[in-house]
Amino acid sequence: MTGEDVVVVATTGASVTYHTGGVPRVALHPIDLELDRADRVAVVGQSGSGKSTLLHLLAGLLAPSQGQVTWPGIGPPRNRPGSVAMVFQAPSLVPALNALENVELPLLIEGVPAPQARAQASSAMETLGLTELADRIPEEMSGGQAQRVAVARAIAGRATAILADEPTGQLDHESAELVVTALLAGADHSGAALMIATHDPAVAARMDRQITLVDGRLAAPPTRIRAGS
Amino acid sequence: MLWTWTWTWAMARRQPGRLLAPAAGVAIAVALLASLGLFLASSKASMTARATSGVAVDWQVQVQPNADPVAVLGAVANAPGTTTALPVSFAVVPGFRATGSGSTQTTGSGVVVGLPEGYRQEFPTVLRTLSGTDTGVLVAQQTAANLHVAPGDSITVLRTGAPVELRVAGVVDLPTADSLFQKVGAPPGAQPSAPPDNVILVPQQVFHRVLPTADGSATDYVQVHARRSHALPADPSAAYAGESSSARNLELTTSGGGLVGDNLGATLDAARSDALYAQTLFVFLGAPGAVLAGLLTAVIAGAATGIRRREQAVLRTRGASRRQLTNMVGVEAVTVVLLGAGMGLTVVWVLGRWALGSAAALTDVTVWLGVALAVAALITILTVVLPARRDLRTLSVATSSRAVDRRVRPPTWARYGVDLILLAASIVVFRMTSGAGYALVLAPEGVPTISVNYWAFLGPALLWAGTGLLIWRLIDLGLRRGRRPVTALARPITGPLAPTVAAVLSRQRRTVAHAVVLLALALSFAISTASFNATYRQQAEVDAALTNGADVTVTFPPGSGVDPSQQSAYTAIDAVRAVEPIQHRYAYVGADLQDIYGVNPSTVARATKLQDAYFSGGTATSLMNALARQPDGVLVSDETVRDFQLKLGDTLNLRLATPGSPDLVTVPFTYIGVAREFPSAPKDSFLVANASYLTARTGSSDVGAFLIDTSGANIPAVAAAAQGVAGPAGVVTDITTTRGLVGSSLTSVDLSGLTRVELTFALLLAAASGGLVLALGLAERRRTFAIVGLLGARRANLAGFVATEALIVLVGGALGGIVGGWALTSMLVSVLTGVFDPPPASIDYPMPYLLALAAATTAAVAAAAVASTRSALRADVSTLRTP
Repeated sequence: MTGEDVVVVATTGASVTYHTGGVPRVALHPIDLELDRADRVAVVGQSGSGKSTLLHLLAGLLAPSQGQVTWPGIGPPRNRPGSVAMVFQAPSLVPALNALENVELPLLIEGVPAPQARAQASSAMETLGLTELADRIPEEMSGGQAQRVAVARAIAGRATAILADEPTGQLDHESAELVVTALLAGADHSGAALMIATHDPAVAARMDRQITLVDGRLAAPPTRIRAGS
Repeated sequence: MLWTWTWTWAMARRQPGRLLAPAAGVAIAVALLASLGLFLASSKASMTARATSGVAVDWQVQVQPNADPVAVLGAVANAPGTTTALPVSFAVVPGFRATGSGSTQTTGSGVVVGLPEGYRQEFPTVLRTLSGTDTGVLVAQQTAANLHVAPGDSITVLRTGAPVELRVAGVVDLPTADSLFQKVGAPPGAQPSAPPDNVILVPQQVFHRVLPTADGSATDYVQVHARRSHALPADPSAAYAGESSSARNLELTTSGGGLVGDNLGATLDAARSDALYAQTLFVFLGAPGAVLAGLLTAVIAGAATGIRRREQAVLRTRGASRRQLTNMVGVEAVTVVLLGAGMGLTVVWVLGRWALGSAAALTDVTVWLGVALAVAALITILTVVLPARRDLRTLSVATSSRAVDRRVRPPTWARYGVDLILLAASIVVFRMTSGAGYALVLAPEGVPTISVNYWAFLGPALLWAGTGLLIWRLIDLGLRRGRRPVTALARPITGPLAPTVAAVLSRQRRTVAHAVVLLALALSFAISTASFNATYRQQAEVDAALTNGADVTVTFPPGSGVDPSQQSAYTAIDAVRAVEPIQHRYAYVGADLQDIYGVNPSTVARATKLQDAYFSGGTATSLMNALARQPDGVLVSDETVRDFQLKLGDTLNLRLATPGSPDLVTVPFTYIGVAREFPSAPKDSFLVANASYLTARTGSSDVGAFLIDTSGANIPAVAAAAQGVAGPAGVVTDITTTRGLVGSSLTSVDLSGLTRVELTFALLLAAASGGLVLALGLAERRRTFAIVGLLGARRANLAGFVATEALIVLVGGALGGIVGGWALTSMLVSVLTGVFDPPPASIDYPMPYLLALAAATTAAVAAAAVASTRSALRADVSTLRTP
């Protein structure tokens, strides 16, 4: 196992069952999965197939109903904020903070001193070419710009994995391209694993491999797809 | 149109809060206004009843020279509304004389009053027997003192013919002497300054025997005393109008043969002024509450603005016309008004039974109910309909979800300094409306209508509005420019989130400012209302204490020979805390006969409350100390100082009666200060001196009254026991009875109903402003909390985020409320000085209520913060998807 192949998150028979009105509904059947730092993975499937549930499970936002999720070397994300970064489909920037303040927010939460957090945030925005947006609040940005700022927020810290849940779902094609490019660049820049849940084949095609979920189950063994193939 | 009702019904089922929350705000306004109207109608009725019950003789119709008394008597008796009419004769005689103990006393001119049979039964409060019998020849108390006569003694009436000797049957007090001896028909300024010093009252047949008309005295006159029906309109103004018209009508009926001294009309005239004062109080104290309720409703309705905008955007994309959307808002508004009015009127019904003890009184306040409903409709139009219509005209779908106000420039009013202008204008208006010569209630002589000078409202109103805007400016400035201090303030409770908290509060500062301003205005309303009411109650108590002298007072007629040693018998009564003997004599200051009170200045304050406002040129304590230092010192009235051109240290030679001596003894006193009021002393001129000096110079230590302090405990029981000690010679009065009888000033009106209603609403508004508005502001930030939580913030940090905002709202609102409340109370008390008698020496801040207010507000803010924190901690990814 090379340094790049270090597993950042793994599931062992992890499943998620929701209880709606006392009626159990399995959102994700037991799944075994490993995500390496070098992975660039697309999770595809129809609405309700369990894509978001899988990402939330890997991000530590959901506890598995059965089985377990581990984050080798770093422990659960709740103990180390920012180690697993999420990019959501819905706008997830704090409305009252400008772009730079939004980007530095997870760093401040992590306990990084304010001046250092500001420097790291500026650096992340510069990496993604977002410097001119620094002073804008979310309402003053387009959907694509807001998502790219969210990506900058994800890579500003020491994230070992970036999990993006339908990050281009509300964007036009051109904006979607820019956001995916930013995600790939960000993951490369910070050496983090990248997993994107998407309906968009074009987005999935830009990832190294693709997993398909059908009704909460892996439809087929992970398929490795090389970019440009 | 049907679908708009369907929509509203669906909203009521799925989002009841959207209709119930603004309806609750409207309900508060309706309940406040209608219940205050209920109080106003009720207190006006009680003013009329109280005013009419205190009149000894309703009409004194003076028979004019050359008119036939019998015809005038018949006209009065037949006048609509008259229940009793009796003739009373008056004659001015050169004087009276009495001989006893080897000496003879002679008075100056006096008045003989001839009373018909049954007069005392029909007009029981004109005379009060102090000793002897109720019938026969009765001598007024002061005349008896001047002549040294008691029941059984003889007095001689000096008249144009041969003097006539009469045997005294009783000594009486004339509580309404001013009214009884008024100059009927004379304008107010031309009335005699004091009633005659020497009066005897005799049965009618004795009068005609002693002073036959043939005697030819030009000063003889006849009055017809009438009792009128007191079934009058509840409103003093209407009662006054009806009664004075009847009086004028009688004068017309008698063709000028009878001139009406309309005592009932005069009392109702004073009562209608008081009613206007009460109305003024209602506006002063009630209007801010209604405005606050309106602001609260605006904030509550504003919380649903975002949802409504998005709904409108969706419906517009589905083809709904602007007219249909307007109808939809209209139906929502009508529902809010109906719900709010229903809830408000239910509260009024309950309050009516609780505070005023009458639900039937609701029928008396139809006008106020109408006003309350109109205000409800106005609030709803301003807070629901107009914003929605404005959104329909100006907002696009894209701009319908703006949450952050990026405007850096202050609003227009702030740029032009409207807040500072309002405060400056408030000071100017305040100076104009609280200066000398300003009258809050205008009652021009000769004009039948009176009115309130509403300019007086302007000062406090401008102050209130200016304070609110200034607080808004300060909070806006503080959060915009003061990120560093806010960060430092937030760091202990939010940890690493402090810069984020400061940034969020800075950009959403207007939400915070709204909450702070509303809380500050609500608190200042509550503080000023409570403090004004407490001061009002304090002065009503002072008024009663001043009139009665102490909790219980035992007075003796002159010459009763009560020894100071009797003090120990009163001290022995259970619950008595202190007893103080007061000497009461009469002294001539020049030709003017005045009451003089002998006190022990070192101990007098143990049994009675001496306020600084009673004195001029020093405090109560300093002048009592001065009296103690100067044995021959005397405190005199302002009028005496002016009439005799006195300067401090001047010697004042008074002529005092001494027991057992026919002559008046001249005693020198040193003028050391001015007493405007003194417990148990009359309203006009009087003197206060050292009891020891009076005893030494007159050779008598006879006590005129004992002042008994019980600290408010067991007053009726103590009064009864004191009566037992005093025997029939002593007249015992207690403060509880006096409180209900004091004058016609507004302080005699029981404000407990108003107080309870207002203070309850003030508490409710303060708690709602603090808690509800904060909660609504925090609810707007639920998305922020969700994001911060998803990014890994710890629970304590999130709780700190909420707590920081709660602290800013609480501390800012409390500081603004305290300063604003203090300023508003001071202004209210100054502007409304006319309602106080005597004027307050200091403002009474009711600490128990203020502590309860602080506790309720803090609890409401804390509850809102806890609920918001729980909500923030529950927020998850799904919160981000919620629009």
